[in-house]
Amino acid sequence: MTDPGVIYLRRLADRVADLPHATLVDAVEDVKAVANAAGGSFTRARPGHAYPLRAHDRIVDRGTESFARIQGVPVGFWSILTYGSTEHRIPLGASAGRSRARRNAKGRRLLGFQGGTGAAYGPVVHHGATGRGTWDRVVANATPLVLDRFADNVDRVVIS
Amino acid sequence: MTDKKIQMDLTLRDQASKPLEKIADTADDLTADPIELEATADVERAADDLTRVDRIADDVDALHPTVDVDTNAAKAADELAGLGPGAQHGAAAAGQALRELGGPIGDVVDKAQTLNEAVAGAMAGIGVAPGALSALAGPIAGVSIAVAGLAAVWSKVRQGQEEARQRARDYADAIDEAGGALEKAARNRLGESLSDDDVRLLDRYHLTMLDVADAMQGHVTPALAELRRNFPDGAELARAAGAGSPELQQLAEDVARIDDLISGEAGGLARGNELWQARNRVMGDAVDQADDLTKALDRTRDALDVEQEALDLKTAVASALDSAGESADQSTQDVLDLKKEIVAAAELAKVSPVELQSTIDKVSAGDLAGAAADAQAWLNRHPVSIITQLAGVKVSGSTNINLSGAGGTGRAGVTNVVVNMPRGMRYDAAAARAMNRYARRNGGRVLRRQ
Repeated sequence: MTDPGVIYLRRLADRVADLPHATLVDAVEDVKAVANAAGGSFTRARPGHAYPLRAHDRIVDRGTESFARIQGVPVGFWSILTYGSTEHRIPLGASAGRSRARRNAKGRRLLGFQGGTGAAYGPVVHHGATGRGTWDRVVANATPLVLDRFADNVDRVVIS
Repeated sequence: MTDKKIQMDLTLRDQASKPLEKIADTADDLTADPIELEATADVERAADDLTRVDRIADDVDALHPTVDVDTNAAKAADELAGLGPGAQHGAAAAGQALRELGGPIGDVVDKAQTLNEAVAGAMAGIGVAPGALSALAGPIAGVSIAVAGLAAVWSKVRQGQEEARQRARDYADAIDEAGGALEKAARNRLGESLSDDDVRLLDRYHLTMLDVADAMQGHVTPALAELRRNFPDGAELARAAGAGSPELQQLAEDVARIDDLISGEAGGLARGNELWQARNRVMGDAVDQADDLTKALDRTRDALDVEQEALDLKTAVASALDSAGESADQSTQDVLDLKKEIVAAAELAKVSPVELQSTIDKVSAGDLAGAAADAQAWLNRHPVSIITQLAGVKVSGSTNINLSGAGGTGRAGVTNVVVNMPRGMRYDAAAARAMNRYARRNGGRVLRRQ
């Protein structure tokens, strides 16, 4: 009969070995909740359409090490919110996947009106935006939650 | 350049499970190996007892040079040389038996004395200093390690006791053999001392020369007592015979002759008598010595029995606390069992009735933590030196009791489980990890995977 103390030590070692993965599973949920709350929806890309800003996660175990990456999606809108944007043209309509001619088609910006030639239109240019550091705030707000989650899990594993 | 990735990376690395597994393996080996952890003082006492017994043996040997064959075997043989070939052979056999005596007893004593060194080696093997093991284990395995340690000590000491008893039996046999040789020599000497007429005389009255020898020592054998009942006094018998019948006169002469033999006036029996006395002395000392050894071993065993009892009691108290604290709704039976265990602990630790009643009141009031602390304090006050920690008690709220630590783990059985998995699952890492985890949690180490 194996000694109960030895069994307990083995259980403890087992729980400690599972701790990284289990903690990351909990931690990414915390981070994603923070990201959902901070991101909200991106509505300015297409008026009338709301793009919720969320986060996806991927957890990989390598031996005794567990690695988690939380990726904000859609990356572009997160990036605009976080870091801002430079001046850029706003393509006409849904230009993704369309031809270059379509993507470079002149927009609806009225460049001028001259008698005889009529109205001249050019591309609509966005003047750029200042980043608000949204994702940075997500990271800043989620970090203490992750640390607390880790501490709680360690306590639960060691004390229980 | 600022990293503009919309990502958050988390990395956790486990560096503790491997050392814990190593500690568990070492503890497993430690419990499997009969090595003492805590009861060193009692083993030393056993060693002291054995050493004392050995010293007694030396003293006895010193008192009787004929037994101390290491120094005086040749001399004893010379002294017995004149007693005939049979006596010489017996003395030589006894000398050889006693010559081999010192080694085995010395081995037993050495084995007991070096048990402490084995403890130090075990501690070095686990990588912690003595005393630090409990601190390291803390709430992890305080009770169980102590249990395992004492169980290991118990088997070791029992084994030592059996060996020591065997040595004692060998020792007694050797001394018996020596006594037998002396007895044979004494018998031969007595036989040589008696004339043929005397031998016939004794045979006529169903007496032997041993009856005469015992009578010389003041011991009346049954045959001699029967003769005394029939013929109280040879001289009186002779006077009564007077000029009576020749048969009566012959009887009176026979009785008088027997009296002469017993009183030593017949001569020739003096040396046989001395030899007989030496034989009795050696035999008596051998019996006393064997008794001393047996008593010492029994005393050691009794001490360890007390420790075992104390340890069982501590485990029972922890178990009762565990049972009572597993649920917020403590059943009356659980509380009653706990009270019984506490009373038993108080009895063992000789706690005053007032103190006991105070603790019982704590249990009744639901203060299991306080009761556990009291019981732990009693058992710590007990003279036996067992480092045992009762289960750590965490009290949340007024009635919910959560027990944690070693006492709460219980003794899990080992179960062999054969899992037949689908072919596609055989190399599935998650399934294999789950199987391994199940095996480890149930006391197994390695689960064979196909």
